Amino acid sequence: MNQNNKHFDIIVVGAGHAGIEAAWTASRMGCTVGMVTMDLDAIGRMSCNPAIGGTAKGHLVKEIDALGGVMGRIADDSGIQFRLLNKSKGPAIWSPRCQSDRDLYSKVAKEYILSCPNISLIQDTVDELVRDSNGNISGIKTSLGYEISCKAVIITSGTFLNAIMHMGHQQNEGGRYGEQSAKGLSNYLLNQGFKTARLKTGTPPRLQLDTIDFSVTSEQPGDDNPTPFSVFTSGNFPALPQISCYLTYTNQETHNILRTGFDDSPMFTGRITGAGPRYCPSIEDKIFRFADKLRHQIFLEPEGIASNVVYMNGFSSSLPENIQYAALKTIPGLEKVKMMRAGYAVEYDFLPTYQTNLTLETKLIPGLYVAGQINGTSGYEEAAAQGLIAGINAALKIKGEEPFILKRSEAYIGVLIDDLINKIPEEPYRIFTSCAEYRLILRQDNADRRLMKYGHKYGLIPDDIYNNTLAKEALINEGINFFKSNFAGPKDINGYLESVNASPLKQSDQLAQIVKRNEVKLSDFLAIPYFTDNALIQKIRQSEIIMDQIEIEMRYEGYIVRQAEQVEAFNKMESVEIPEIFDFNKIKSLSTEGREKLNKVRPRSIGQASRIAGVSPSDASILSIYIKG
Amino acid sequence: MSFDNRIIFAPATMVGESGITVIRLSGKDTFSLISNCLSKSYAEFLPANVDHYTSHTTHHGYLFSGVDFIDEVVVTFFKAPNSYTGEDVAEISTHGGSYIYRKVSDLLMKLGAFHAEPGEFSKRAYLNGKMDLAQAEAVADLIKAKTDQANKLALQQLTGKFSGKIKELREDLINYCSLLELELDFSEEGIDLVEKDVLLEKVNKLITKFQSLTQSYESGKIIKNGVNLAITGRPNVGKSSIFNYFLDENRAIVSDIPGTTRDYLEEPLIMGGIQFNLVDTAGIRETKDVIEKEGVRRSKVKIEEADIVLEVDDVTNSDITVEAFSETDNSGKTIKVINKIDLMPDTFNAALAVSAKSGEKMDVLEDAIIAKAKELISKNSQSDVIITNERHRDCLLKSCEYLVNAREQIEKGGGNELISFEIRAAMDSISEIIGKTANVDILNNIFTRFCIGK
Ligand SMILES: Cc1cc2nc3c(=O)[nH]c(=O)nc-3n(C[C@H](O)[C@H](O)[C@H](O)COP(=O)(O)OP(=O)(O)OC[C@H]3O[C@@H](n4cnc5c(N)ncnc54)[C@H](O)[C@@H]3O)c2cc1C
Ligand SMILES: Nc1nc2c(ncn2[C@@H]2O[C@H](COP(=O)(O)OP(=O)(O)O)[C@@H](O)[C@H]2O)c(=O)[nH]1
Ligand SMILES: [Mg+2]
Repeated sequence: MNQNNKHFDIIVVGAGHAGIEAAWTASRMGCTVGMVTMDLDAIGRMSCNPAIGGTAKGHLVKEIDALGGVMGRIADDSGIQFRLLNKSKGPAIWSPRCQSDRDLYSKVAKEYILSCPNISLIQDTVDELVRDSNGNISGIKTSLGYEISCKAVIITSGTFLNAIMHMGHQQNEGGRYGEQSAKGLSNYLLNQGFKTARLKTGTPPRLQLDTIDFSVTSEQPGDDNPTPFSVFTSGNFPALPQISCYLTYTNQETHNILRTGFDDSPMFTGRITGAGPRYCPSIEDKIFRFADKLRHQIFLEPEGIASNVVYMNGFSSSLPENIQYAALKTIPGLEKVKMMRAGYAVEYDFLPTYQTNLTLETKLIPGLYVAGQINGTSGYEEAAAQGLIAGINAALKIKGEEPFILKRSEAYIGVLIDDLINKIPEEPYRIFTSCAEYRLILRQDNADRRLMKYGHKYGLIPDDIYNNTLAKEALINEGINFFKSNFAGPKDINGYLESVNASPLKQSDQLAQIVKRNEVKLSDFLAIPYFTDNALIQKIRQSEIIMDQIEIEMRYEGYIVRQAEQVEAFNKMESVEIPEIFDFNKIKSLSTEGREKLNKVRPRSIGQASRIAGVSPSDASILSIYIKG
Repeated sequence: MSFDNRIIFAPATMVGESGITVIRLSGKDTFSLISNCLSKSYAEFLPANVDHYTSHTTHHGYLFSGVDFIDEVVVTFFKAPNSYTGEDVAEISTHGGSYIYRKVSDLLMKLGAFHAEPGEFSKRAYLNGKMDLAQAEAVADLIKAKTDQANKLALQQLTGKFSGKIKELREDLINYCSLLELELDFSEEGIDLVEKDVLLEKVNKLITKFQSLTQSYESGKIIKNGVNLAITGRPNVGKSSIFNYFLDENRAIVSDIPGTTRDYLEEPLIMGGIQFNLVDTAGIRETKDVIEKEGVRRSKVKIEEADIVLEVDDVTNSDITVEAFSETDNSGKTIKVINKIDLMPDTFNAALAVSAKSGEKMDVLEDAIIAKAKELISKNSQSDVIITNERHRDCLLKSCEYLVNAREQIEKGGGNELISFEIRAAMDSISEIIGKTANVDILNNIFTRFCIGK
């Protein structure tokens, strides 16, 4: 390909999880996309844990899917173990997770990208951006010396900017084992006036599968009847044979050996300055901070069907290689293990997100978008969610359409981006269910009902799938209305109630009251003869999904109503707008820190202002007195 | 509006015949204003270069209006942000007397300063982040406080003791919430999760804590707003006479015509260091007079609202015997009194038999009233901090409600996400007193307390 005279609507820098969604959505929205990445064999590579989803992250995947992204589809196609986590807890917390075949994931991702005629893949490193006389983005310059013109750029460079890998005293440039660091781009951005900061993350050792004695560990199989992430997945699921993971534990001896390496730790000795994630600490960190804990759990996760590599979840470390190896051999099952690769930490530049709008467009350079780990997040799902939002918004901008911003009350994706923009991160940001104040309504089970309308509107969801969702929605509402407006008497249903040890009815009661009872399982209840002649009920019974939705909505009903009231109050604050050119300096009475943070983030509503870290409640109230006059 | 650079001033002490008067100024250009009228020399106006003075120092000098000498003064300087308002502040101590004050006030206005509106200093302090809302509310209370106890309560709030207490409660809620969230977000982490009875026990403790603070409002309200003391009884027993006796003036019309007092009368009064609102009511009786009827209705409302009811009768009522009266139960909010013992000297010797006319035994009645008021105040102040503000009470009451919901959820085996919903609602409610709790506060708490991470 002669890239010299090539022009694209959008150039996506990077082909990681963010880059994939960005390129996919933008191309589906009719834009031509040039996808530049340093290594064409590393498209959608899982740098760390070969798993997708998990608590709150599973919600993100479902939302990405409902909006027309591809992460859920790739995960479904390459998953080797599927589980719905937290099944013993309330439905708001249920989270799908899968273990992936690492190589296959990457391969499937590449196939999705190659299937888009609008996307051109280019192997190169982007060093600089080109701006026109108005300062807007007009192209990129690469290491190989090409200049490619475009209308918008989405940077999704992950951990690669000025990346350094640490292991004991060893330091190597590189964003991921065996891959280079990208240095030019970071410097370019600094020169353009961006601020960058350092963060770090780590990864555990990889072990050789056939040297592990699994008999002394406990097996963790997947679900018997797994459900896919994606509304697009149908037919033969799961497509691949399913495997188990294995649980084992560290012990005092492991800890003692690791302690001997503390003096050589790049973290403890201060060679790493970037902050690491507290929710994902290295094993040395855990031992240091929680000295009284006698053991830590380690999950042994096979990296694929045919792979001989095992991922050692829970043992991330940047201690010297020999110490890692000696320590892990004290762990039951690993006495004779061969370590294929030691754990390491990587430190990298990110762009603190106060420099970015809620559309993920930078404030400094119009047409430049940033998504993924470059924004200070961590995790594939967080990266993918941002890639999707950046892709949609870049495409909308090129088409001259209104931007797309999801509210905190609509989606975990909204929470994620709002948090990013308003909370200046002190550690890599990861999503949790507790980040979402409206989590009782932001469930993974209703992601399609919440968000597919947007995916459809932007042409990312085909009509047939959207129509299915609309039909489903209608049937759910019909069902709920039926249960609320119909009654059953003792002779109709006491037989069933007694069979599930529920107290029988003395007089007739609203069906909704019965459905809400903890003992009642909707699918069993609707199977009783009393409903045999009811066409609506029989229709509902045909779909587990619909019965689940009805059950959840009815059980949570009181809370859903209260949550909706909270959302209304929240929206009220969001709708008190702050003019774009508002001068925060003229309010002398703001606290110094508050004013500084407001100037940095430049919130567009009083609600947003009140969420900015460093803006005190009194600052927010002053601002609102001022704005409202 | 205080989003401006106006210099405001007001006397900080009572203006009148006193040794000195302190006038406080606040605003961005306060120091240059002082430079324009403060001289180091008595003989002529040599402007003091005030901008160079260090904060929190006091300087002697002479005030001049142009070439005219006004007063010898001492000025204390507080530089922003280390002042009451967070702005540059000066406090000028002049000699006492309203004449000098007027001269100084004219001078300050001539130099561009403005009379402060009531509460404007505190408002600026609040807007400058020098105090939180609860503290700002306390300043208003402090200024209004008429008794020693009310003063103490306002001070407690001003010094942040109250905010401290609320923060402590919020901290408790955050800790509690962390336990719940731990199980929701980190159940895969191999951490020991909290048992149901522990959750229950902890929530019960929280409820008790919140309730006792909420309860303290009953005392706080009384201390701050005064004890409502209503005088009731049949017409003509001498209610208005007792009312006047305590007030030491002829506030209510006294006559021997029943139904003289048609509407209730209310007057503040301090007895034994406690603030009372003394209410004289219309005698309760059946009447056709529409005006008196309305008076009776209003009186009934007042009696309903009263913290202490003084139920008066008089010795002319033949139904009352000394023996029966001596056995009356005064343990509730009522104190029964027999008036007009002067009409039957030496025959009616019960403790609370008095004469409003002669003043006989009125001191005994006063003591009884004070004792009951003290009992009322201490009854509801088990908590180390007492709340005095209705808004705060309402916020706490709401929190309590949510905590009780949370307990119900735990008892019926509801999920942590529902319990957490209630706890967060409780947090939101108290955040209206001192400010918000963010999700990061909860996560931070989890990260510092528990070993998270695979
Ligand atoms: C060692 C390590 C450990 C990790 N541990 C965890 C963990 O424990 N838990 C967790 O949740 N997440 C972890 N992560 C993070 C997770 O891998 C990332 O958050 C996620 O992959 C980010 O996706 P992304 O799309 O932003 O970037 P990446 O997936 O990193 O993709 C970046 C892409 O950009 C390309 N690129 C970069 N710069 C240029 C340039 N200038 N020109 C052209 N192409 C460029 C790269 O080639 C690559 O294709 C870890 C990452 C690493 C590297
Ligand atoms: N002898 C005597 N007369 C009293 C006393 N207190 C009130 N009175 C008279 O009783 C009448 C009614 O008094 P008032 O205070 O108006 O009674 P009220 O209707 O209960 O308010 C007036 O004529 C008073 O002078 C008292 O202690 N002794
Ligand atoms: Mg009277």
